[in-house]
Amino acid sequence: MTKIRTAAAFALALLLTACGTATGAQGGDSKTGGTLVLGENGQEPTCLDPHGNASSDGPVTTVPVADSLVWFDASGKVQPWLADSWTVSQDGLTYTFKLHQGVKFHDGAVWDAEALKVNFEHMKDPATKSPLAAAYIAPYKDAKVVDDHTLEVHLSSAYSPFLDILAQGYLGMISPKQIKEAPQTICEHPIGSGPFVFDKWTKGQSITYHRNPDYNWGPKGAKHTGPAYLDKLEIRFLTEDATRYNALAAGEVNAIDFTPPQNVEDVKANPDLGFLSAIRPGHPMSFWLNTSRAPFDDVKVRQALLAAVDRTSIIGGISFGQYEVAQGFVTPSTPGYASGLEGRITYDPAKANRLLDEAGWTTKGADGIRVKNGKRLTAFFPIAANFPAQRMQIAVQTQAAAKKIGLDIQIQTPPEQELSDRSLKGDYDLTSGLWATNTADVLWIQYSSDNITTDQRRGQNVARLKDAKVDDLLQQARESTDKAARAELYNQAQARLIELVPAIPFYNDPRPVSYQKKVRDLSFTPAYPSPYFYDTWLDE
Amino acid sequence: MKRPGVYLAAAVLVLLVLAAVAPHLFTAQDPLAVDSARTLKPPGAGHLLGTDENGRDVFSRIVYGTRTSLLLGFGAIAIALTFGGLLGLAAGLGNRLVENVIMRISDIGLAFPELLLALVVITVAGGGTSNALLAIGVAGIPGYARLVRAQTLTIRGSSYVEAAHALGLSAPRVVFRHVLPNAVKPVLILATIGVGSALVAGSALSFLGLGTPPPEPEWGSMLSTARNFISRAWWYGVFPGAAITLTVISVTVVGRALRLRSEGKSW
Repeated sequence: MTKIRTAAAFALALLLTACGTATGAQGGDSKTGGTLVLGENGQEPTCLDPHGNASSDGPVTTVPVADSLVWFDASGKVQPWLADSWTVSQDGLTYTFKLHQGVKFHDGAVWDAEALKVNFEHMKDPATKSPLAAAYIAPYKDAKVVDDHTLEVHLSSAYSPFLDILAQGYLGMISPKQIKEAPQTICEHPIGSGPFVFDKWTKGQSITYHRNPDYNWGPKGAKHTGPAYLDKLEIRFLTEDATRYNALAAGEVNAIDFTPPQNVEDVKANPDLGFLSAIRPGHPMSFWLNTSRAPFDDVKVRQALLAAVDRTSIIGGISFGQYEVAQGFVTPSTPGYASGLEGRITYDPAKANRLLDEAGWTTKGADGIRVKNGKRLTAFFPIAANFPAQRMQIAVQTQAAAKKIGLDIQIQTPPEQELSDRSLKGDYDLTSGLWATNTADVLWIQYSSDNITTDQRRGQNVARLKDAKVDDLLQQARESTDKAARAELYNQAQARLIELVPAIPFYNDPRPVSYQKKVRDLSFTPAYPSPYFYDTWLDE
Repeated sequence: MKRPGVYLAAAVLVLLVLAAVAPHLFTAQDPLAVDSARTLKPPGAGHLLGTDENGRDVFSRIVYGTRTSLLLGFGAIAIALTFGGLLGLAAGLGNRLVENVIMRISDIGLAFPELLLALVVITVAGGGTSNALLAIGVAGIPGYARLVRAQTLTIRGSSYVEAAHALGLSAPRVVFRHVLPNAVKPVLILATIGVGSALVAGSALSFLGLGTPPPEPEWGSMLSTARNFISRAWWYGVFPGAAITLTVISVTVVGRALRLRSEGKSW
């Protein structure tokens, strides 16, 4: 369960740390032409169908091709895109979308109510094997075509995150013609209505696109209208951190995604380079604790581990001061983030020792590890062989901190198959990851007891938390159509989780992009902080 | 002392073996002791060669890593030599069929670069120090089988073996008393040079994340992690790299000297 869990995302307060100007000259002096090359990390999707992927590089590769139904602006408001307007029924069960007219897909197919319906059905279709989109629109029941450009969508239960979710790149719109006639080709060659047309995907190397000259339906939040400025776009996969950074430093690429933290200072000090970063909304990068079995079934043991780890020092060290320490179980860029809970998690080894004593782990063996009824206090942490380097640092340093309070964390690298079997069976004590999405409903995804993996269903509650109060709060928030009431429910849930400690939250994961200064108006899709090239142009 | 370099190399080897056997004599620091507050600190007081990304002492990790690295080098060659030697002997002494079967299989093995063969073994058996050792050892078998066979054929036709036969010694006695020792001696000397390349192969596997798992110290995996921090912490990559280089050079110099001496030439 060490997957790099990076789903979708949006930023309410898109924390733009612009060093130099990402948004330099505007409007009139924008130039058309040129090719932009972006160095991407190694999270290359296995399928370019937006509905069929869950990679953190999913949206950056599919948003150029596929537009979404709605756009999220930087202030967190839902804005029109492929839908001009919408209404929601009082009970929250019916959404009526009025669609933008005159939109054409790259294969000539027309954007209409039927096209939207076909897309929803494609997301839900088991044949799509959708790892994310299907789950995000799970309450979708059916839809009725009212007229050419009006679709009435029915949900099986009220689902407040629905509109927010629709803005994510994972729910981009694909040509209905392709879905109907050749759905098996979408993974390899997606056809959408976006500002760029898909050219070629050389697996393990790059994806190329060219400008869609007919494009005239950019999102409300864009800086211009009409076609994109760039002639061509190339996304090159440069897995190695050092390789990616060096490619930018050597001028082989115009921009890089996921700037390695050890190089951020170098980028900022370089007058030829610019830097742009946003905190990814959703669940911070964390180590989840398996609450369904010993030793972490005891809340005091979980609280003890949390108090034993000096997160500020660890995160400061591994990120060279670049990452901010998580203060709870959603990141501050998530709508529904409960401010006021900051500082509740403190580093206090004395308290950690006291809690373990209270939990009955009072005696220590010769190796310094606590013992109760003849059992050593151990926790099993299985990781994949390709565990990310920074996460490995956190794991090793957490292991050292735990040892000091008499808890033995065993980091092991079982074979891939065993790892996935263990994760499905819940045979682990710690597992790591994050979940990026643009709503506080991420708490329901991670902590509702409905989402514990069983034989019937695979869920994301990897902490296997079963708490009636948390369940109740999150379910209510999900169904609430009242914004203020929802915020209050999420606040309570977050406070409760800090007491329950289903995870050690470490840092709010950023998306740091570096680029040559000649790259202008590079921005993030606020619905998911990944580079967006519609407004981008090259000053050369 | 015609070649002081050889003595120097030998001295380095002695130190390395000592470090492998008793690392605590060289450093009082725990190679696994993490210090979140002192990550990637440059060489200086307290940390002779600086600290790594987890605040661990680089010097003590190099010292404690000696055992694994030498084990990979010498252990792999021991495996290659033992099995390669036996096969070569069998091929050299056996009938046409035995010789052909063994030699054609070893030809196939020789057609692949050793590291590639080792990767195949790792893919089948899984990673880890002992598997890496096994993989490199197995990859070395065909080469040694061929060498030992050639030696065996030469010795088999030599006059002293003929004399032994004429004296009525039993076949096993002739083989183990006269053929084997004489066939293996020159190969053994060549193998010392092979230790260097086996050590590099072991480090390469760890570098690829297929050898020694963290947090155990190993030179190759240290080098692998260090490359991400090269612009900020030169010491982290340079010293493990220097340790590998120095060891390989020392082993090779000593091995070469031994070979020259066995051939009756001066160093």
